[in-house]
Amino acid sequence: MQEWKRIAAISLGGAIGGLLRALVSLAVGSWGKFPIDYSLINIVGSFLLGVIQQTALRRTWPDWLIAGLGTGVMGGFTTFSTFVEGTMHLFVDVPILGFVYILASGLGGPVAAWSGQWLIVAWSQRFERSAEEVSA
Amino acid sequence: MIGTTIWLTTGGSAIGALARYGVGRFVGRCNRSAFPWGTWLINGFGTALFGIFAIAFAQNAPSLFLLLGAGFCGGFTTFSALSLETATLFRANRLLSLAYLVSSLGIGLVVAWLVQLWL
Repeated sequence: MQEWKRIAAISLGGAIGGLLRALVSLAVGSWGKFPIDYSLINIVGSFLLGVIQQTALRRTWPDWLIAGLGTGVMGGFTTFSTFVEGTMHLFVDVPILGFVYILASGLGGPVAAWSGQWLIVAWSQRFERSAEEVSA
Repeated sequence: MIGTTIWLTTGGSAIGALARYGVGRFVGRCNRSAFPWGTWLINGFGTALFGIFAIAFAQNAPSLFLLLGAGFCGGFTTFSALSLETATLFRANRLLSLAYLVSSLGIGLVVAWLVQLWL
């Protein structure tokens, strides 16, 4: 039963993530040849996954919700295949932009995920401290 | 036309995300190391598939490409898990984390390039 809930949540989440990716890509488009749309999608999605992961560790969220938001929505929103294909074409067309793209996403993604994690860790520590002060 | 684009991507992504969950769980069960082989293999394989679909369908059958390429492969492969795993692994083992990031990007590029070379 638990497994079916998770599977339903991941499918629905994947659909929502894919829908958001298509919408953001249509709305933002690219700057000339530079895929600013997928740069934003992957960096923002990485940040949000960091936030979701650390929040899930601190809240009693049900399994299906964590799987649906993380594996489903953020997994489906961000994409690796389009990013690599875009990098390869940029390397051929405008090599310098290819380097910018792979560096911006390859470093920006992990830094964004780390920032998302850090934000929740710092926030919850502050919250715990103020709770201690109140109870002391 | 924009409506079709959106719905094909949405449907393909749902199936892609589910396939990622299945493959990720299977690889996770076999994987005894700290290296996130699941995401690594998913992204490498999904990039190869994306390249094949792009060459086969992008011109001839754009709707099929939206469903299978932008949709399925887009939802199957993931960037956020790669980012999160790199950031998390970096705290425990910096070298392994960098190796994971660089090899993920590298294998993706090599695979995409090979597909284009062969097809």
